Amino acid sequence: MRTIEQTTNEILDLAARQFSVPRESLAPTDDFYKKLGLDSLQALEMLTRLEQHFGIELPDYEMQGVTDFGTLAGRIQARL
Amino acid sequence: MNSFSGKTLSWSVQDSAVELELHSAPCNEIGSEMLADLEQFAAALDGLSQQASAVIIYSSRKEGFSAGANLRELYQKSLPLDEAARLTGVREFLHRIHAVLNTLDDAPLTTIAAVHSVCFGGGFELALACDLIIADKMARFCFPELRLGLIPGFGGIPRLHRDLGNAVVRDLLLTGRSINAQKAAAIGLVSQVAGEGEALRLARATAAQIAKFDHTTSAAAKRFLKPIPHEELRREIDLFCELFTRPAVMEGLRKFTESSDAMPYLP
Amino acid sequence: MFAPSLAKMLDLNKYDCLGAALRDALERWPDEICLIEADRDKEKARLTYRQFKEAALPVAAFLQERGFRAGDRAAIIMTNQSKWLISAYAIFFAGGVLVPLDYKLTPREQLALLAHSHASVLVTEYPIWRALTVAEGFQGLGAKTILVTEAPTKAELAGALRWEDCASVAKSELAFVPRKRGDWACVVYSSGTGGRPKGCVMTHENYLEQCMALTALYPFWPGVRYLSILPTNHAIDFMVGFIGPFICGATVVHLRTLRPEFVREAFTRYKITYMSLVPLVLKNLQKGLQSRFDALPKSKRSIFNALRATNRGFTRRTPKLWLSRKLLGQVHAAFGGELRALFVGGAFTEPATLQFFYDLGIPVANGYGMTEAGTAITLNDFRPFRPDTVGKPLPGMEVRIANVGADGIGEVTVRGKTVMSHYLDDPVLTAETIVNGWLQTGDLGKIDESGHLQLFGRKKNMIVTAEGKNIYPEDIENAFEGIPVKEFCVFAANYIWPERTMVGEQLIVVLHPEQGSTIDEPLRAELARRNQQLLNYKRISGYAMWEQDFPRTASMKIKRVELAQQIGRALDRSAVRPL
Repeated sequence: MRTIEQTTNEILDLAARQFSVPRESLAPTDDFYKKLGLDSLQALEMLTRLEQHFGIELPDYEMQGVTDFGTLAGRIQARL
Repeated sequence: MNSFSGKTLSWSVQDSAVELELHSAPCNEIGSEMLADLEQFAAALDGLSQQASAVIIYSSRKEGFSAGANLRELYQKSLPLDEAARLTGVREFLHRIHAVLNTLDDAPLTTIAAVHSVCFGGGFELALACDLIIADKMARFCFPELRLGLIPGFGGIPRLHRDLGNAVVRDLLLTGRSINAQKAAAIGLVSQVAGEGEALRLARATAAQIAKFDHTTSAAAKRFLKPIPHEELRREIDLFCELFTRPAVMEGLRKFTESSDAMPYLP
Repeated sequence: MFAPSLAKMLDLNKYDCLGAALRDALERWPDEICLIEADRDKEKARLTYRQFKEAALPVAAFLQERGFRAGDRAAIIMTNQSKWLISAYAIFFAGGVLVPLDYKLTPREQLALLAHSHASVLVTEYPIWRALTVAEGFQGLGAKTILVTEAPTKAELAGALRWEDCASVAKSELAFVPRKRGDWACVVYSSGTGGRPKGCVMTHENYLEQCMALTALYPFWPGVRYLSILPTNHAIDFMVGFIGPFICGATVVHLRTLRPEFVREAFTRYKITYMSLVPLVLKNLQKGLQSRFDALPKSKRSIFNALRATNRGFTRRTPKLWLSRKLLGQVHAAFGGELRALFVGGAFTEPATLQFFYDLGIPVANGYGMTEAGTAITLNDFRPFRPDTVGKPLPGMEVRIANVGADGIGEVTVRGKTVMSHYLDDPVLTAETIVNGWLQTGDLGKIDESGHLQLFGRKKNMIVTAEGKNIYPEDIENAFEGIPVKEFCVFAANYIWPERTMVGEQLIVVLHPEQGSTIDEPLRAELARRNQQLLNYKRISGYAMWEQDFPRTASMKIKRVELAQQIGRALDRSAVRPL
């Protein structure tokens, strides 16, 4: 059973890989739209990869108002 | 017409399948141009069924299969008109698109939608009019109309009803959420999930399989299996038009049009 | 754009402190752009030196009003933005000591460093402040003046004040607080906690000397554009992306999105002159370029390769920027056409990567340094190009190899005016690190006949990742607490079996099983499970078995040096089993 820290780390790993940025430049408090320069299409892509990685469904409205990795991890953790 | 090269789409016959390529930037939004091109395609279907046994509809835009109705065009065209004129314009558009999709639904060939990435709203409805949907792993399906104060107007509700249980339809339509390809396959909406970038290849393999069977038999089986819900489709148009007159809709369209994001698809 | 002649080299000897040098620059070039904030493909803001000054002075006034005095410490914990630099200048103006902290640390770690540094002031952002207020240990926060940026209107600030409110303080009583060269300018924490924070006390002289040394090799002047992607609290970016450019009237472009495609765009959009990278980012750039070359049609590719060979032939001894730009115009255009150098450091860079860029006429200057030495110790200057070294010592730096072995390799030691004063409140560690005036770097190397330094490994028990992050074994041990063995210890593999290379650094765990037990499957599985929970760059790659008791001190701490020696004598690397 993953802890929230692990979930956060896995999200950061995934984001670093998907968008080719150094893993260590990402922190849980980072705004992923700004840090990764995402538009909404890329955010959807990230959403799908997260769903696949964690084996969950994450309805779009769970992303509402969520802009940092840490909070996103919380939303995902609630479905693990 | 065996092949056609238009502004928003093109088709040709490859190995006994008609391949219809949607290529309108940014994401195959269905507006007046694409509608006109689709009408040409619908008109050609009967002729095409002499040389092919399947249709594959796919998109060459990396953004996705189709993001749905061209909302910017809808907003800009509606803005200068009064309410009555707006309504007339919308109703006419809906009648035309319904005619195209009904023709597709009923086509004497087996139709396959090979979708990837964004398959939203009208684009989703286009895919639903096909016999089979083959989805790329990264595809997402959604009816975002709710966010604008509308319902899907291109026949999505009746076709979803035909294919899925009511609970799933409610989930999609009342929450406006998108679902991924795996989930879509699990509920029976999608027939095969393809690896990233492989949907077209799988669709071609499926079409090759389909080509082995007797044409007439398939067409007859299809008519038996897939009655077109004409009455429900008409009622959907009526409900759409009723909702369209509300002020919240124009406001929602304005916000969408003015958004600086190329495709503002998150809530 | 002309470069000033070398005769007009930057002379900072007339300044006694950073604040004075910066203040003069703000007065001298009021209409030059000091900062451009870019976000993906849009520009968010531009600041002139005058605007920068006008934003900073109210903050300095506010601090003084709150009783901030010369020598007081002020910490900044912020992601990159103009307010970071503005706060830093305000702190220097008010005669304070800056404590730049890494926003990526956990709130607990940040609180520990705030306590260790005795900072009385903290400037931070609302999300970070929020996280601090709910973290364990918050009650012990010593800082009494806290400024928070961009807090929502209804937010509960737990005693902090809004940045936006303090911008309206009257500046009439404002006086510049001068400092002396030997006074503290910053306390910079080098990474890795392991329970013992290492706060490097850097003086104004350290920074002024470093600035002169760097700009002697790579000058800055108004119109020069530096692209900054590293956080400003990072030692390299503080000097090359803030102090250096500002003192010289140049422009810093802040790009906060690290996606390679946006970095490439920024080069052309802003006509970048200099940029610092870590080896990993450089490699990504190389991959991107290589795939573009590979995608060229055959005819174009052979022409391109011929041009590249020609360029290489003419620039074998020294770079000839004008020639390279002519021959390889398209590549240079892709980098904006004004690029003079890319600085790379922090970790090992492959010679092949450096050669790749050099052959294209894009000078990548790799260097070596550490926070304790004032950042850069050696830097390549392309006279001539040497991809196999980390360059020659910067002007003013003395580098000596101590305890030279038979192979000519020994520990790199450094002396110079840029070396830190001491470790904050840690005379023992300071005495171990600076011996008779020479900084013991803990890295192994040798200096060749041309005066270039080559590195051959690490004396210290640690590894550095490809992104320049230091990982200390002591920090990793927490993850394995409670595993069913008698005792265990994590080591950098090279510490036990020294290799004459900087490549392939790994961490391993040495296990001493309980009497009569072995390392069985359940234990291995448990190790693997614990390992998975670690961040990927902190994971151990294998384990080794040791059957004697670990040597310990009177207070039961493991004597790592001795243990490593024992293991190194008795076993070789083949004893390590992969995890």
